[in-house]
Amino acid sequence: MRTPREIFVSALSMEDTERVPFCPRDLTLGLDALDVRTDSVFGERYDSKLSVACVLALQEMVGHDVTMGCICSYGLEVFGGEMKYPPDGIPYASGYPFDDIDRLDLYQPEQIVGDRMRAMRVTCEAVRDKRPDLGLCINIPGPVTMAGFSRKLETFMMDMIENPDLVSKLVSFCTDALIVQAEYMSDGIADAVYLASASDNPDMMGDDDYRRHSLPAVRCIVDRLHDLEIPSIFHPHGVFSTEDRHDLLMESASVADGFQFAEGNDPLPIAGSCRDTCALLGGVNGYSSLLLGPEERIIRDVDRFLDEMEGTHYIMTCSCSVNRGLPIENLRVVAEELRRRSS
Amino acid sequence: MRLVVLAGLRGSGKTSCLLAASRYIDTPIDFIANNPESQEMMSPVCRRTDNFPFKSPCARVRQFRFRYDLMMEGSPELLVCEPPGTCEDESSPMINPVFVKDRGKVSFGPLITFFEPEKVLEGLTSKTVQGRRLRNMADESDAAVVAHSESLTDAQRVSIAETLRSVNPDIEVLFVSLDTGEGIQCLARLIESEGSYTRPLFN
Repeated sequence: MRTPREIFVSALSMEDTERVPFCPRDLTLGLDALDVRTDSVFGERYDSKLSVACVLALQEMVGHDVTMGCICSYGLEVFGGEMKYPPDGIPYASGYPFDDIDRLDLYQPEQIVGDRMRAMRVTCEAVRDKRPDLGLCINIPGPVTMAGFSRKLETFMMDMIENPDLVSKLVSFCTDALIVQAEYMSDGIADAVYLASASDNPDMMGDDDYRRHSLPAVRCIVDRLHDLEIPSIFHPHGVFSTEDRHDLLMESASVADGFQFAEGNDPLPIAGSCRDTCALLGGVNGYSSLLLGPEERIIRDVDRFLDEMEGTHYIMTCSCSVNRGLPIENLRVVAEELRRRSS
Repeated sequence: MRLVVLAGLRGSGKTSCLLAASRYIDTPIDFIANNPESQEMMSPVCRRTDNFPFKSPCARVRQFRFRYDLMMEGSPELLVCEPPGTCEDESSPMINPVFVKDRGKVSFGPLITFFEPEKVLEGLTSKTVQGRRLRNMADESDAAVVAHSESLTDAQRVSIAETLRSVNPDIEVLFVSLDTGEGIQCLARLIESEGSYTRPLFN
């Protein structure tokens, strides 16, 4: 019998699998599994040992096939950004390193590897060692998403209108930094790199700017990862399932090995268009069914996704990442229904 | 304390209709606007106001909770919120975590979404991004407010209501006009006291 990791890697490679693997992109939910404060892991020093324990405790409770290897955040402190770590909440950016754009010239992309990232890498190594049977993905932001975090999204959106050259320069910096991050974090341990790309989003940027800035930068990162034989998953936000976005869907789906569609999309047209293009990911809405339940509603939604994705190389996720505050029991319902359907 | 969210695309009439309805609302209003301009528009008639800075779509849920918690520190009686971000996404994902946390102590009013009539008539059934967005919004809403009703014929009203109900059979449809005053008092009652947050809990 194949391991969860082997099944995940096969599905992402568009090979036939005996069942649909489950990859819920667990960024911070593991903290709830052990009832740990957020700032206990993200303290003055990132607590790798505690992070490993959280990731594995959650996996034990839910039974998913793929973990993200560590309790994750997108800290940009290495470039002068500020993060907040609320005790029972999700980390968030409160200061933007390049809100003064002159600061961009003070840094090199290679500097993205700081103490916290090193500690997250140590965590991923330990998770890999302890559970070699599980798939492991590295979570990094998409290029425009990182540019938005680093500049402040509102300012960045104004830059798109007023100063496109500046946008190109910042996205180029972020792309180079993300290549460094992806290589550093994934080397020798990861089965795939996840480009979590909420602001690489045609709904927000418009189709033209998405094509101009996001897609080429994502391609650049993916090409480098392919040189290292590491597959990638692109998860842009926005609507891709409508007829007027068909071309954009195909361009987005063909850029990486896997394409995760976000909430607000209709799975069926995406399945129909992309079944021969890449592996597909997506799933139950984390802020409606998964948060509120009840069990019957979750099962209904899981079954709908399985039915509509039939015939594709499908990896079940949630609509986006899963973070603390989500009832773990509800995530377990997803895993159980997947197992029931497979048998 | 009652929480009501007014959703709808930018320019659909959320803030201007709220401003008109506020004349008929006795309860002091605390308001979180989508943007500083809407905040400024409402400040003269509100007890307290705030706005959502523009952030990534993924941040909307956390952002809503953060500003909501800040407002709750001031013990509001009626908190009215617009969605953060582009206003093009569903709003229930932001409300649900707050619902889970505070359902015992807060009365959750209906999710009210504003629509422009021509967008319902021409856009809602189209297989475009715009159509998809509007359908998603209609599908999650407890009530739809259709602005600019003064320009609509009876046949158009029937068609709009039927189109919205083809997506969401439970939706309450209210026509309002800032020119004639139609529906404004009904909107005020909907915000202040009538109905509850229901559709997103079961849909």
